[in-house]
Amino acid sequence: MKTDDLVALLADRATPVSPHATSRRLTAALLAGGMASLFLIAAVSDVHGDLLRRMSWPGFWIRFALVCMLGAAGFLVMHRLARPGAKVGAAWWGLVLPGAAIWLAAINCWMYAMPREQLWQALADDDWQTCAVGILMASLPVLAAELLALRTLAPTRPALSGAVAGILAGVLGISAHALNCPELSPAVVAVWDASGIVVSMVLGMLLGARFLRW
Amino acid sequence: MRASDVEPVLHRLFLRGLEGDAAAYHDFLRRVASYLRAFIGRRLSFWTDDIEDLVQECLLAMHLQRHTFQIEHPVTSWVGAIARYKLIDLLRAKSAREMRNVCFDELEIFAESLEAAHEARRDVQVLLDTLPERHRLPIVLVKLDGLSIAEAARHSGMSESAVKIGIHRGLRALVAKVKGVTHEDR
Repeated sequence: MKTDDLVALLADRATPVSPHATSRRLTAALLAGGMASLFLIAAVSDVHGDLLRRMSWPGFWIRFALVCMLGAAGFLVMHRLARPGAKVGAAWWGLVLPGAAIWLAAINCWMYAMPREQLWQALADDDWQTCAVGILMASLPVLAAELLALRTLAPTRPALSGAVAGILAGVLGISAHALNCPELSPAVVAVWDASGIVVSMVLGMLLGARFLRW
Repeated sequence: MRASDVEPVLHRLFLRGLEGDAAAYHDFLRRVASYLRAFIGRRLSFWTDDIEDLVQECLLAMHLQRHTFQIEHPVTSWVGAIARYKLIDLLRAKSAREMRNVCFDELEIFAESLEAAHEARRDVQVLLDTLPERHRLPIVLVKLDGLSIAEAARHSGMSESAVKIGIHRGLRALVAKVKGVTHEDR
């Protein structure tokens, strides 16, 4: 086909387009994925009654703030990565700083909070399957929904976009899982949070490199 | 039209296109197609067959992804990012596919001959002029004008051995100068 013909053909299909499509699709995916993971968590276990008691623990709120910051920055970065020519710029710091804080907390717990053997013991006998599998399971619906939304957009760096979608999914995953998590020791919680986000990020990166090309 | 003048024109046309104005959208696509053809043509000069295909692929991608454009952003960087993405995608696919069977004809090197030597000599001339006369003159007479040592000696009034020494030292100095120039270029 001649290029002029293609141009004419495309111009014939100049239907009006909403300028907010990117925000709408990503938000819808986030909501749908978040609901799905909440239902999933609620279905496999009963939501712990001691949530109110845990809310009095200051660590709960620090964690809550970090997770919220990471989630907000993740959304902003993903929004920019989904549009060709948009610069992510300073928004990267919104991912790096809370991410680093979560990791530092985890490393700090690992090194100092309790003796090494005791932590291994705590990680091993606390129903670790519940935590590891629970976080992963809770983040998967969000990751799937975000990747599907990104597929309808135009990320020029597919693997990176997938990784950021993974971070966001990990954040929502640990939040949903937190409703149910029976673990009370902050050390163990920090270790699971930090590794949950990384696992989900790597998964998002691998899937993104494969499925987000257009 | 200068690059800075392109943005307002394209932006206005594209916004009207996004609102459903087919004529403006048509104009936008036609203009973008010619920019793309030039941009891609420069980078795909080895694969001229692929240029128009890639132009069309970019146009199609822009049409399908036009909802990812934010109206307050420059449309030129949006178009540029899509074109670069598609170009890199094609080059990556090519390098995987074609590097495996590079088998160009050894005689391909003789398919075309360019007389670019003239250009290069002028640079040497500049460097030659910086040499002292006793080195410069023998080189010009023997190496460039093609005289024999004896003729050059007669021509310049130097002894034959002075001509030989002049050529030898002059060429060495010249090589050093050429090296110096290319190192400065880097």
